Amino acid sequence: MMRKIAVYILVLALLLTACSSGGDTVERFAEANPGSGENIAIPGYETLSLAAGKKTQTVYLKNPPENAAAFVMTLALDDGTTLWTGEALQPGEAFTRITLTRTLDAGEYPATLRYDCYSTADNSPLNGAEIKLNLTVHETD
Amino acid sequence: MKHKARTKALSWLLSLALALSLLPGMGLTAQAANTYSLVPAYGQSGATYSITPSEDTLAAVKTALAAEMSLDTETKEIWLYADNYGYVELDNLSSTMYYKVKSKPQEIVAGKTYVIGDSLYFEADKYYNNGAVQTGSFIFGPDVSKAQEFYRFDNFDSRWSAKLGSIPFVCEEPSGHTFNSSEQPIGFKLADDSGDGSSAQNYIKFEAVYAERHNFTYTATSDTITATCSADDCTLTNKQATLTLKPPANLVYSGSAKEATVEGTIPDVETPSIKYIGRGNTAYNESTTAPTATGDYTASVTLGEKTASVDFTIKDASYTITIPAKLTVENAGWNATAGVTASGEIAEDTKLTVTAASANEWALKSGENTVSYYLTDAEDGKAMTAWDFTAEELSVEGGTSKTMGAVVEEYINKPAGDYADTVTFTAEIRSLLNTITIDGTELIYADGDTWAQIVERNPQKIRIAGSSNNRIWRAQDNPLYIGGRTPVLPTDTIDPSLKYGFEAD
Repeated sequence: MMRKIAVYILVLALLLTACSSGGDTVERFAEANPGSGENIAIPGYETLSLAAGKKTQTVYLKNPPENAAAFVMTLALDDGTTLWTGEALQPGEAFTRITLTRTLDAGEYPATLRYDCYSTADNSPLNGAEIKLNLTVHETD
Repeated sequence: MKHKARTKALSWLLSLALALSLLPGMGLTAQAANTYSLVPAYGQSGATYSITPSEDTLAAVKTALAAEMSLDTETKEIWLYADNYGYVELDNLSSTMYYKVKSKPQEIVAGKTYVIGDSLYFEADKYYNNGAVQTGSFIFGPDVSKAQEFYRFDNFDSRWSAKLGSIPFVCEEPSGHTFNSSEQPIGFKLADDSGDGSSAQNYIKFEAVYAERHNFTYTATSDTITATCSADDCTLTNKQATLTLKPPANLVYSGSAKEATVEGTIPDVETPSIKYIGRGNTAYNESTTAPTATGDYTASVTLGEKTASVDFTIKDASYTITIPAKLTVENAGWNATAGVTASGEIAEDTKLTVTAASANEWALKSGENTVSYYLTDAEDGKAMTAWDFTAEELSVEGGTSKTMGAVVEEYINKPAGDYADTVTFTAEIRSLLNTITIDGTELIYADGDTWAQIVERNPQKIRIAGSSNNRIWRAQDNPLYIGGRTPVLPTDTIDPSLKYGFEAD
């Protein structure tokens, strides 16, 4: 009985940790530990793997905890099609599930993941970044 | 000078072969199919030859004598070739002469004086001369019954002639070493090539090369196979030798095969092939072909039914760039920032390029007022917008930082206001490989690649030399001409400004 209760508590804690935002799922993976705010750490990828024919995708797009900047991320194909724009992501958080504006067929797509950065102190715009990458879209069962 | 000496020596060899082929009564000793290996190459001081009839050993011999001989891996024949120009193609029948050589394994006894032809000799059963295939044979040395007699040549011109002579052939123990019962001579190396055969007083001196006899048993732990010798007087440390399997050095997906490596050797034992198999959810049947795709793999080697293995994972590249949050301007002129830093893992043949783009065309704006600036990497540096990072720089602990600052125009006379600009830094992994198209075949290469490296980068597309290969020729823009064009050597580096072409087999 006690074991069951412990499992329920654990599941509840996980649900509270993860929250949905605009159909996306954000999870906190670390406590924010902002540095001086002088720099921004931008995660880069060469490839993002997606599932063909689905709008909902499992990803792991994070904002490093040492940042003092929030990220607004946009994923767009090189032909200009915007596939996804996320809500502001705080340091120590990560998108684990996102919803695309359209589905993709299996294949390789050149794309850009754009990071618009804003100060966590006053929300003022900061320098940003773009990551050139390939979307590898796999057939799913 | 060295080239001349070599040419002379090769000519001597060539001349001897031709002359002896004309001598009546010269018999041939039948050779077993795999009894090639002992191939003296005059003019290659210090070269070591093994009589072990294995392909690996022959490959080593080929490396040592790359300029003088070649191994046809398909027919298992050694080809010895000579030409007054130095380098020739093996089957360029129109301009040179070459020989298919068989040699006979020898029992070398230290201290014994051999006469070439007594027990050390090699023979050819076919050779080409100016495009014509000659059948027949010759023995390199005198008839065994005529010990101490040696056929030599007095001139190295194109006039082939031979005389009877006497040149002792000495095989000595290596300096400071006495053979013991667990050792066996396995060949010889040229110790003194001061003799060139031009005088009966000259001699060519060889030194025995020896190896120990071992009786190994094997054990394996994790990534290492240990061979332990049971011979009482084995000189190996702890009577052991090991093979250690190492995972591929760079495990970031690059599209090319990720090959594990074996460190160490076991004397007289051929290093086994590495086998690869997928692990977990990675579907990859056991194969000696290294995998290219991302996934989890196990590499293994087996010796004496003992297997060592190592797991590895090929993953996609990932990295972090650290950029300035703001460009703070405190004065006109140079304003340093914390720079741009990159860390992480990317494939070996790639680089990470970070480029900067201004939202206001490199101007700080306040309403309609502007203050121009540019980014650079030094106080007196020129404007720049791109910073490159190598795979090695990214892999450094904590990454690598590159200097970046803004040089701002004098703004003392500008109207007061909040001047701002936003810079977007774009990161992209770019290939370091280039392409070149030769006679319609597209090849990839990196700057500074040798042709041997290019051959490795382009499997199934080209090979250099050998009896069944495509050969690459450089067009007529080099002073050295052979048949109007100059063949590239495996050690030549590619020069994209030159025009290359294939010469078909």
